[in-house]
Amino acid sequence: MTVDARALPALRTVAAAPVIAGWLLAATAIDLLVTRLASRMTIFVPKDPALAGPASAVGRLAAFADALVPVLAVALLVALIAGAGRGATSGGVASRIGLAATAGVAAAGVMAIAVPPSPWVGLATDVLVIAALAAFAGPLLPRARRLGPGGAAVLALAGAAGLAALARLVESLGALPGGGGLPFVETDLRGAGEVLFVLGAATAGWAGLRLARRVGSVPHRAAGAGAVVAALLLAASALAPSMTGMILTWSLGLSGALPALAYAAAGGLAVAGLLALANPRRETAIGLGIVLLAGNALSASGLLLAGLLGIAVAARGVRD
Amino acid sequence: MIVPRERRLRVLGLLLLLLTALLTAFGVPVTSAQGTTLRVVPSDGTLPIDDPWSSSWDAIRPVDVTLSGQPVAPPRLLLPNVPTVRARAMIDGERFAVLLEWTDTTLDEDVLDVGRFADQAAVQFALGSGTSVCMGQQAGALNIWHWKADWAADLASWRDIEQRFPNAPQDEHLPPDLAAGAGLGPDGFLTGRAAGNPRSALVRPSSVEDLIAAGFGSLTPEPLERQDVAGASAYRDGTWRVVMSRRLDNADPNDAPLAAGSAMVVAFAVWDGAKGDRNGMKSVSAWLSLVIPGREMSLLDHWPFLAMLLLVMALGAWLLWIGSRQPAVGLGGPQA
Repeated sequence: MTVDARALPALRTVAAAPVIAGWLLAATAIDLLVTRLASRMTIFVPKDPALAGPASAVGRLAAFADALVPVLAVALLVALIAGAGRGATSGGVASRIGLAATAGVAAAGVMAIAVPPSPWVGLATDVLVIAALAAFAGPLLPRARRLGPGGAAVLALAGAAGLAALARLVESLGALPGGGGLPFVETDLRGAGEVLFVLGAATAGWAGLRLARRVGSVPHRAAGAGAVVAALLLAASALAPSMTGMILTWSLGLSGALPALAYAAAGGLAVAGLLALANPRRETAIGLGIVLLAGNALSASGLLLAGLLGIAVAARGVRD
Repeated sequence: MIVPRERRLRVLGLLLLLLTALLTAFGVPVTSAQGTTLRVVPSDGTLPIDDPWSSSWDAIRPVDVTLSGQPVAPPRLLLPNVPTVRARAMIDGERFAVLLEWTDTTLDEDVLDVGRFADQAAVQFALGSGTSVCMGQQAGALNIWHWKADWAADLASWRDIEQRFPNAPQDEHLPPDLAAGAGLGPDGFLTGRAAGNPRSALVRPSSVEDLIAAGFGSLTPEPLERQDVAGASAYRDGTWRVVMSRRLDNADPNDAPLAAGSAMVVAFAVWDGAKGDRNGMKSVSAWLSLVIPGREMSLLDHWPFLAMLLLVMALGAWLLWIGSRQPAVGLGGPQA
């Protein structure tokens, strides 16, 4: 029999995962709106002297938001590791393995800045990503039915991230000496991952709306925000299909292969549901929000790390 | 003195913001991207630069690159007519070759008529870092290899307006007596040819034009003596395959510095002539990495990366071990 040691003060200081997770959610949202939307929209703006200044300012803000995501993600990772004590809320051995693998993914992302990624480096990184996802979401599988749509959303989004990592892994394997004979399956894997991502977004929204109705009623603001997002997505797809498709591809990793109605419905449901979920299941809402805002299969290391941590937080929220 | 938890968190948040601001101000990169990479494969034998359907190309695993329309600069193409292009690249001791493959239901290599356009493909190499994918910018130019189906057809058998309209009156050439007197030769009325426009040239060095660009409207062909990109193409069963190749690093500052052990970013563009694609109306890719291997690398060659990875994972495991000896704080964190 073991007895819990008294928590180290240093760990108590940094064990603030839910707060930092909230900051990471905000940073990921800013990154989406500024770095991945506003700064890319400035490409289409003529750079005459009157507009060059604001465009440059947006670019500087975008660079800040781009750096904020990995900084906060590393802070959240440290907080989660430091808070992974023994007991029901620790997530057990699987969660600890997932956090150690995530630390490896973070290190690989930093190393890849200095060392051009070779197939071996890509292979090692994606094995760690898949291991982390399996460790975070795998324990939910046996209890998936009892966990309801919240658990299904976490599993679907983890599956989407896993398929994207698998596609990169197959690509890296194919680039190794003698790997040229591998079948070409990356496009299919990415396509299946995108379907899971959209399903995960819709299911997350459904989970939030269902829980909100059980404990009371769906907040009007949440329902309104969801309707506005869905209408905006539909209108943008109808009025400027190519521009919307390009922005969706660059900013959220969605190829546009599914009908615009599917993206609009999933986006609207996710916004309404996650806002409704914020009160009764705050951790789950934050975790799922980070994953969705980090996008589907985007290659930036900061967003990859944020997405993994979002899965970790959402899985713990659903489980607890 | 006990500092309340909220205040500690606020200080932590401010420190993280300050750290981010410093990293941004000093331009320290904190993110990397494991994006689409076209890895150049060393050739086992002769580089198949003249045979796009060689089995040597089939032995290489391709990269499928998604294309979008070109909605930035007029003339625009809002939706891509060619959704993907498949790319492979090979190298031997002397040359670099890239193979582009895409599906096209029509073979369009005849432009001798108003309203007819040729199938085309292009590869652009960034000559500096941080340049724009949209034709480059002054701070970072591009080297563009532009293959044209009509140029390839001209190399096989030169065709001119006479072949398209055999009964048309010959009014584009000066009469021989006038031509001799004017000192312009028989092509005196052919202003493009007289001005040295490569498109009007009677003799083409290649089906691939070697170009440079540093922003919209700046696309310029390299001088004839520096047109050193070779092309080979073949259309089979609704699929185009085009090989573009060049000698390795040729010390021309306007040419892509292709050398063993180097890496750069590239992008592709494809035109479908039957659908009216020409000029800026093309299907384009985003940047992807082109990695030319120096020598074959094994897993052990990456020891600094592996050492860092093991160190971080060991640190993570150590922290987890310490954490496992603490009371569980989970997500909620300890109460202050």
